[in-house]
Amino acid sequence: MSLKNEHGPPDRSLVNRVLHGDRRAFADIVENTEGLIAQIVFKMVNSPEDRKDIVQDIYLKAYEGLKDFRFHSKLSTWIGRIAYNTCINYLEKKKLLLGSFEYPEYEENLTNGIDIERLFSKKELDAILAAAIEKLTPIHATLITLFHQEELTYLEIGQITGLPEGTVKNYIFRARKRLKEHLLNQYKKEDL
Amino acid sequence: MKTGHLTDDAIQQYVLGASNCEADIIEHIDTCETCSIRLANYRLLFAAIQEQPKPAFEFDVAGLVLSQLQGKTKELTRMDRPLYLLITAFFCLMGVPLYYFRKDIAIMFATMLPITIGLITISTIPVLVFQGIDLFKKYKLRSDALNY
Repeated sequence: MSLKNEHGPPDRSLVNRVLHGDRRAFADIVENTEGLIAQIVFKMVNSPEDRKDIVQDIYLKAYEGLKDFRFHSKLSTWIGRIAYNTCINYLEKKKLLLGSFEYPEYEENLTNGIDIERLFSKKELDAILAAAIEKLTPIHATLITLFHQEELTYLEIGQITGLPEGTVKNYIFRARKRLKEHLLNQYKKEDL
Repeated sequence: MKTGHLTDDAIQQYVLGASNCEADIIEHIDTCETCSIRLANYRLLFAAIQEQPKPAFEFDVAGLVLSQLQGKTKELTRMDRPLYLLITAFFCLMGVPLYYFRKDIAIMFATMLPITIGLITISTIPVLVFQGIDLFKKYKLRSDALNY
């Protein structure tokens, strides 16, 4: 993911080049961090047009703030933080910042002893899971994908979201539990 | 050994790394069929989440951002010039009279009583120090705000 070393030469070298007017270096920073930013923006913003505006806003803020970046975190984490805060502001403006899951917590005894692998084909599982992740709150969906797809640590996710590590871990655990129960409940519905 | 089944948190923790789990959790999973199935479900879920397609922007983000920057860079340069002119003007305003009246200033300090010089120094330095600290704090606040 993103830049090669933590605070290492690539980060510092690129930042110094940008600060000396090398815009090509900033293009490299954008290309290196685009994947991470896409994860955050896609999970938090549904409208493609808004995503286009927001991603530009994110990188322009990063460009303007680069002179004050002190390498207290990885450059990608710092830009991720900008992205996350920008998306949160967007959601708050649109009053879309939901605080709870969109599907209920299921009874534990309904889901014990059922093997998901036997219920669905891989294709079905992927489709149901994609839909289930869409139903998570933007924050939970973002945390889950940052952990599993970007393979960030709880600390790094905490640096991006401003949430304590323990809260990040807790949110991710709860979101996974809901996803698992949703999958099993899908089977229950189809079985009926 | 734990009685009853394991919590979902314990099972997820096991998936993330069995070595981080207590011995009784590991033992329970080895002996409980229900929890073994729940473990398999979580393993499948973890893998399935990881394998979900990664999102990507359909447009050239770097190109778009750079085109925005082109306009902004010129704007920033234009804004910097008045600032530099202002600073230069300030130093000229302060420096020129100091230069022309340097002899008079030297005579003034030479004829001043040491206590007067001392009082001026004692009252000026703390003001400068506190102003400097205040400026630094404001700068730090703005810098931290940008440090997101």
